[in-house]
Amino acid sequence: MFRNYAVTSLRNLRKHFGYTSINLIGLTLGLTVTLQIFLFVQSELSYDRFHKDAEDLYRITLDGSFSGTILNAPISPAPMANALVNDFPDVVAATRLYTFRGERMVRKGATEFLEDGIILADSTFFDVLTFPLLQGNPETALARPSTVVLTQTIALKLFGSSDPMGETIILADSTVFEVTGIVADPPQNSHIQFTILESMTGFQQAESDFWVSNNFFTYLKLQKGSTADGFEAKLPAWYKQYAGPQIEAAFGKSYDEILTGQNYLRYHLQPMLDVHLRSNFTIDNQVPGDIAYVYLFIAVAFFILLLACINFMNLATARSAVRATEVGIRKIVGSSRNQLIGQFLSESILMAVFAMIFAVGLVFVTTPIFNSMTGLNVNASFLLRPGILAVLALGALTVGILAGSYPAFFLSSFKPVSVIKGRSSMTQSSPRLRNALVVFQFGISVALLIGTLVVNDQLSFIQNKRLGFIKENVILIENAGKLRDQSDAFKNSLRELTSIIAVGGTTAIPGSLHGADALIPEGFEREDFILTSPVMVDYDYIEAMGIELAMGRAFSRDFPSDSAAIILNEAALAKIGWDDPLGKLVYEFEGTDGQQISKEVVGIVRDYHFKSMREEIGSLSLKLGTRPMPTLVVRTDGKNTAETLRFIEQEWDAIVPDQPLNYSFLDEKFDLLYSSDQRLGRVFSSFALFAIVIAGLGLFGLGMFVTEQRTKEIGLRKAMGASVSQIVIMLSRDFTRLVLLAIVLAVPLAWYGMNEWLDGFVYRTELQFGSFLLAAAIALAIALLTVTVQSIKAAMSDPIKALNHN
Amino acid sequence: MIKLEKITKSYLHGFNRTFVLRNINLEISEGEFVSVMGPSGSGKSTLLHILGMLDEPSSGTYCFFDKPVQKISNRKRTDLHREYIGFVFQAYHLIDDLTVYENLETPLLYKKIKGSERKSMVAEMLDRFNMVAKRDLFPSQLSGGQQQLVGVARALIMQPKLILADEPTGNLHTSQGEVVMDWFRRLNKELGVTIIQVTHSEHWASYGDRIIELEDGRVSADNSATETVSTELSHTESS
Repeated sequence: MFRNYAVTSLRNLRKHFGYTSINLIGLTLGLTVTLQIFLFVQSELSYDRFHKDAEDLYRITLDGSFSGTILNAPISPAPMANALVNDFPDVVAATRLYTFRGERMVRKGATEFLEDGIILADSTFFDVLTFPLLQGNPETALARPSTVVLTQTIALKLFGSSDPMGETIILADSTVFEVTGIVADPPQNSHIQFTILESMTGFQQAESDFWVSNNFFTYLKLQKGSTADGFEAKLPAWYKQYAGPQIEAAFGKSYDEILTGQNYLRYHLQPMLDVHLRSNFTIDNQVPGDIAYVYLFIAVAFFILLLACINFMNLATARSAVRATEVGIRKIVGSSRNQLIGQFLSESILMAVFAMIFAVGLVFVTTPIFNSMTGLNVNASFLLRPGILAVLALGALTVGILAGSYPAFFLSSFKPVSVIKGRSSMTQSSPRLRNALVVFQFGISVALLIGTLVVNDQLSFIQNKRLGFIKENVILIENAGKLRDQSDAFKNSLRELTSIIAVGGTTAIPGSLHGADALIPEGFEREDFILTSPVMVDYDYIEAMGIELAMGRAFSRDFPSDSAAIILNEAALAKIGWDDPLGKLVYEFEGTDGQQISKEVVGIVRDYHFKSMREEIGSLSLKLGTRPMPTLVVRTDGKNTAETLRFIEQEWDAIVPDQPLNYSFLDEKFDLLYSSDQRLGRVFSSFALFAIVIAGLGLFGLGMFVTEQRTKEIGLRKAMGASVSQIVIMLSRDFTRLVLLAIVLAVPLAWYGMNEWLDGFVYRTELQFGSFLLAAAIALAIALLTVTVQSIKAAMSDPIKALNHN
Repeated sequence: MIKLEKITKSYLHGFNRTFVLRNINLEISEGEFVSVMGPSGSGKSTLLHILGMLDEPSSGTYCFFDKPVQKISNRKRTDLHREYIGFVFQAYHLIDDLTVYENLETPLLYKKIKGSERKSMVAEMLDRFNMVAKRDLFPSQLSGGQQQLVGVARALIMQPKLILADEPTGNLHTSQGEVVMDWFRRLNKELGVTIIQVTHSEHWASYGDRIIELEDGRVSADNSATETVSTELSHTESS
């Protein structure tokens, strides 16, 4: 029986090759998008599951607020990990990680290179986390000072085929480390990424007993069955017992007096399995994913697949007249309705299976494109695992049933007598449903198009908004700390070149991490301090960055007292509320003993975006740094960048020949802040493209069908003197109406959705009427193009031929 | 076998009721060869569709083997089709995408007959109709007469007790039509299959033992036609 169905289906599909290919292409595209998203979602959801007892692992996070500045990061004080293990029987083990900012030099003999994946880890690293050691003993590998565990890749890079165990390497400048273990490379779906684990033992900061500074990432393993909730509840009192005395010593007020009202400090346990997708911290030791995007992508996949299924339904029912005779005959020779439903379903399932096979093939082609677009690293070969193949087969079955059920029920309902009598009007499907489906398809496409355009609008808004500094034509030298006391000599030598306009130095360029320091303005109570982001700069930084002054002056070599000067931004001034700030004093704490030093306000800079536009411009303080700055900013005239760079490199090599110059461009660096938004933009556009192609295909098929059906009418009208344009208008009018309706329905939905997205930015563009208009125009143009091409063909054809048709 | 009592078929057109069949009373016994004649629109085809249970009468009762058809469920009706009734149409109505062999096989598949038995039944039918060489051709590759023979063979393969033929020769040349009608006669005489055919033509009608004439939805004449049959018989055998 199935053979009979299959044979009929295959022959029918072959005979109507045009429709078959439209259906097949549509389904294949839909499934390709779905599979691609399936790969993405499974990769995102698989993060950190490889750890043994992953559901018992937690990361400590801190959320706190001081005078309106919110601190929210997965960081904790150095003594916390040990104290937790000692004080709570529920804590089986704890381990700390410490990451350095930027890259460090790795050297072994003549081999040397910069590495940014070096992290410090406690000896308990392997007790908590599951990173299998290929060589070495997990109990002792990181126990001694000056030992390292290398990943396989790094071991191979440094030692080739010889055994690295017990050998030594040199990290940073001169410290010698002994290799005590080789660890497998961390899997791609681990939020903790590293290339070298350096022993925390002997690291001075790690031995600190100071509970008020948070510099470590702490991971815990809890007893099976103990809940994080019960545990978290005990933390505040416990923390106070250690931190209370230290806070009192530093601030001169008790813990309770300081942490009241708006001010608070809370530690939480973040489940390990939430770390990748549910982290939104200002500081993090990973590039987190976003569960919202996972949901968004699932929704998009669902809709695109639905669009493809709708194509299938629409074409199958539109063409039902063609199949009606067969249905009638089969019923007359003894088929029951269920058998016919079975036949049509197996036909659509067959189609879905073919589409699935093509889609899997296509995913292998598109995955590299998808990866480069999203910056992710999904692996298409995951689809070929036996379990997943079964899922795919089930998927094809589901899609086949989803797409085929309506046509199957519809077609099998034909009464044989009406077919035999040739009353074909009775066998037409309701055009109302078909029209509704077309409206739905185009509505989705228009909404996705609007989404694409709005995301792009916002990105260009960000790029063009006045930042308060000039990001173009600035070269950053990020390892300028290497210059040590030669820093000034180097800066001076750069100034010789005419194409270099200014050279300044800083501890934090816009877009990089900014800390928070307490300042007590003159005349304020001690506990009424304000938090500002402190940035150390040199004399020329303000000029080199193009930062504008609102009041007063920049740091100047003409004022020797400027080492005790401070420059605030307008936001900080607004918070303090002074009318005339110049010459006023602010006090800072220095060290852990709460000693106060005063600084004189000499200038106010206009607010500039030193953080992402998702965040409001906060209070900022600029102070003159005495030590050499880790980052130099070199403003050029932008005319011959290659030449300028060569000059900089040459000067660099003259001072530190053994260190490579590490440079980048400020505008590129700053744009990185929006890389996830840009990714969203690109992914959105490609989805919109897919959706509109699928919807266009469907409309193309319907147009083909309607034109075919009306060939005789067209011939008659032409014979009566209708012009080609009149006929084209007649044929296109119905579809145009549907697309217009789709636009009307999609616009409010898209408006609402995109407004929500834009609200995530403090600095956002308004929704542009033009974007909506453009999306509508694109959808309409595509619809008209697909339908009109066929109408013109039909309208141009010879009326005699048309009238002889049937 | 068939008993119609006061069968009426009408359609509502706006406020007017159009009658296609009016008050038909008819009895047909097993083994009869009946021709239904009448001008266009006299209700011949509708009568045949009602007899074949493809259409339902507006009123009246139809008993098939003493069972009232109106009370039979859809599923039982499908079973009755499979078991007892074969159809032959003017437009042949073969499935275009299936070969001759597959067209003949289709009813057997629906009857869930096993593979080996199915093969021998199709082979026998192909053999009987001299179409073994054409078994792998598609309907569009056959002449009209050949297509209609496949249609007859398909009706016959279910070994029905009743064959309903709606102008079976309407699209055929005379010589092709005679081959088809010859088959009907042989099936009727040799296997005792009841045959009811609808036709315009007196010539083809005369193959039947009994001619029912319809006019404006009423039975206007109902004659046994033994004499004409015997003369026509010699005519066909000589051709």
